[in-house]
Parts: sequence; structure tokens; C-alpha cells
Amino acid sequence: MSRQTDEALLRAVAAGDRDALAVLYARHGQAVFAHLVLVIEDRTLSEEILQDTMLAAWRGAAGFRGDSTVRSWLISIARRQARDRLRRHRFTIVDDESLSETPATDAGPEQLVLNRAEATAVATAIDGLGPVHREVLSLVFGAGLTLAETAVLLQVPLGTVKSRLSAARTALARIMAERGYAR
Amino acid sequence: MTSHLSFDELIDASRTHAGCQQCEEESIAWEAVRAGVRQQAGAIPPPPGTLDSVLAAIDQPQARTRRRYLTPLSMAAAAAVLLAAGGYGAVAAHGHGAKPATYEGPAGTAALTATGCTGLDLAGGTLTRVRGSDLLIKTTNGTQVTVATTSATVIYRETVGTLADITDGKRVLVTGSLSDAAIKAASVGLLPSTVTQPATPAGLGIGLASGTVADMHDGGFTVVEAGGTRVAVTTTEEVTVINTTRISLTQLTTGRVTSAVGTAEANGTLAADTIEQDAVPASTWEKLRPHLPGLPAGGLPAGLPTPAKPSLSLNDLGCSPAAITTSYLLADHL
Repeated sequence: MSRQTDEALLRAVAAGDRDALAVLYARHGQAVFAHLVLVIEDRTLSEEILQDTMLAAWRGAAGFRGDSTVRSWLISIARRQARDRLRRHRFTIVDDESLSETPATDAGPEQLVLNRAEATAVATAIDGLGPVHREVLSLVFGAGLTLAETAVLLQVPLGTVKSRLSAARTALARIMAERGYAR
Repeated sequence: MTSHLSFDELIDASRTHAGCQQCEEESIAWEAVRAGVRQQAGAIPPPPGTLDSVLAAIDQPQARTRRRYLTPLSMAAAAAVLLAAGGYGAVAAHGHGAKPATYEGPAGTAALTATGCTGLDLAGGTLTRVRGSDLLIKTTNGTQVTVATTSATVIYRETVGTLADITDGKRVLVTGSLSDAAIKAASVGLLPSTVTQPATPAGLGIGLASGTVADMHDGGFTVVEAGGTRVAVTTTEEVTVINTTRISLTQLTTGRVTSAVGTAEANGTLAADTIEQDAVPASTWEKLRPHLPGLPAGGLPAGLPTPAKPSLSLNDLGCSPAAITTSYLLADHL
């Protein structure tokens, strides 16, 4: 079973195969959970949403149309679950107006910080980003989605994904510079 | 920037374009971002037991039905405890149709259950939420109880273990079938040191032993019971081992049966001393059901009353908070 494609596993899940769900969880649970924690910044809530997501996947597997990857599909479920939860708590994941999406046009001194950065320093600085930027970075680099998949998942034009990525990188470099990371 | 490649692939591709200084710098910067995101994401593994919780939720309709039956470990424990106590029908203080013990506590503590142990109350049910250091437990009557924890709160989880967890000196409760002079084990429950070892009555002729492990070897071990009786136990890879281990607050899983014991506060919150959670998959309990030890052929020995409805009192395993939380989880399977 572990060699089956995601799509085949999802069909098995739709037929009530619990082992198939376990294999899918093993493949994608980490990515979905990491994405949730990066965006929501609440491990407990993320755990609950991950559970809800896998349960929703179990119940909704038959509805998978195959027009995205299974990972992208799972993350989109997680995103909806998160929105529902956070709406009940009167929070929002996305606050577009508060975040600049203007991409950097040239590599200034801040940008050069990134060119010399260690992964640990970048990872630490991610906490200082806004949710929109954390989300797009998580989807593209954490979950490994293509830009097109990310655009579909976020329901924004492809150009917006690109501008968010660039803005996230600029913001990341600025945060690192402000925190004194410059060598 | 094409949309058909992942960004990872774009970075890798851009690095191969030799001679483009800007491409090279861009790829280095993006690679730093990628490495940072991956490091951040890699440090966030999902908590253990998440999948079990999902599967338990899938099983939920059957689980409600299942709880009307006895599971091997709980049946064995209940049988051992009740027989040792000299009778059946002791008060099950936690619910599932049993009437809670009378409790007169501070105002607002109606959702808590008296334990029969001085100063200790219990909140038992399904863990619905962990918020900061507080837990929310939904009791069997539908009431939400807030359980407050501190760094001193001890948290246990009941999980499926392996034969390697059984070592000399461990305290166990073994269920199985009698085969010659030995018990062929179906389940081995490893008991926390805080639980009073339940005694097993002699002469019942059922596959049940409670005591301390000795002479652990390939294929079995010996249980030394309280009176010094040595019971040989044989094991195979099919044996289900139920282990109880210490965990941290963040490792608790919502959706699982959870018990908390501590002191009731005036506002209805339980200040928890000990918390215990059942993280054994429902499918494991299902697998064990056919191995119920049952009662001996020919009925009970003369002098013992016929059980109308076996039940377990919360303090039958002792009055330590951990003994009570364990009792609750055992009784939950009744």
C-alpha cells in the first residue's frame, strides 16, 4: 500500500480503507500540520484542525476530482477548517491591507543579508512575518506546492502569489537586518 | 517566473544558468528562504496520537456501542478488583448509566465526581480542548469541566506498547487463556507504580494474573502474585501490551477519553494533580474482545454472589490520584 499513488490511496479511503488514510497521513500530515502552525501560531488549535482535516478527508474522499494534488487538496481543507475555527474566534488568517505586497525591485543592503544567512536565522525571523507572508512561504517552500497550485489554493491570481513571495522575502530580510543579523 | 515548476525546481534550475550573476544571487537568496522555511516546518512534527484520534472519531458510533461490553483489560481489572473486594456491584462513580456517588462539594462543582478519597474529585470524559495550561473535558452528561494544570501536574497516557516494555520488576495484569499450568497471554497491562496492585482470587480457573514480572525470557515470563504464588505466562508476538507512560501537556490529544483528579475549586474548576488519557486505538480494544477471560465453566465458586452488573469503584485501585485516573479509564470500558 505504501507504494500506491496518493490518488489511489484516496480512492481506497473513499471505499472505507483506514490503512490508506494512515498512509496518506504519514505522507502529508507533517506538511499540513507545519503549515497550520506556521500560519496560525497555535499548536493546540493546529492539532485540532489537523484532526478535523483528516476526518473531513475521510468523509469527503469520494469528492476528490483530481484537479489538484492530494497534498494541495488536504491543505485546502485545512485552510477552510482553520478559517471556520478562527472566524468563530473572531480572528482572521489574512489581513491583506496590513501587509505590503510590493515586491522588491533590486537587491538592497537588506536583501544581501539573506544571501549570507544561515537557515536557523531565517527560520527564527519567519516568526516576525505577517500571516499572509508566512502562508505563501509555507505553501511554496514548506509544502512544496507549485506557484499555480498555490494560486488556486489561495484563490488569487498567479501574479499575486509571485508578489507575495517577493514581499515575504523582502520582509524577511528586513526583519533579519533589524534584529542585527548582518555579517 | 514560470508557474509550472515548484519554487524548489526553479531555484535548482536557476543555479545551473552559469554566467548570470543576478540569477546566481537570486537563487542564493531564495535558497536561504527555502532552508529557513524547511527548518521551521521540520521542527513542527504533528503530536503523536493524532491519527489515532482521527480513527477513534471515525469509530465513534461503534465506540458508543462498544462501551456496553467489557474489554479484556478492564474486565480483568474489574473482576480482579471486585472479587478481591469481596463482591460485585460496587458503585461505578463515573457514569455510563451508573448513578454518580452522592457529592456535596463547593458551589459550581456539580460536574465533578466524588472519588471516595478525601479531598479528591474527578473530571472524566472526552478531552475537547487544550488552551494554555487549561483543559476542557466534556463529561458523559455533556457538561464541560475546566481542568487547570501546573508544572506539578502529572500526566499519563495509556498506549499500545510492545513486549520489550515488559521487564522484570514491572507490575502487570495479564489476561488470556489457561493452557496447562500457564496462562497464554492475550493482553498484558503494565500498571503505573502509583496504582495499588489488584489481587486475583485463587481457584477461579480463569486466565487472569496480577503481580510483578520475574524471569522474563523469550516466550514468556512469570507473574509473582501478592501471596507469593508464581504464575507462568507464555507470550507470542500477538500479545497486546498496554503501557502507561508519562507525557507532557502538549502531547495530550483531543477527542480521547481523559480523566483528571485533583481538588475542586469554588468556581467549578478542577485543580489537577494527575491526568490520564486513553490513547489505545479502538481497533485494539476490538481485537482484544474475543479474548475476554470470562467466568469459569460451571459458574463461580460457592459463596460468591452472582454479578448482576460488574462495575468498578473509583477508589478500588487505591486513593492516589493516579490510581483513580486509572480506575476511571478501566471503568470506562465497562
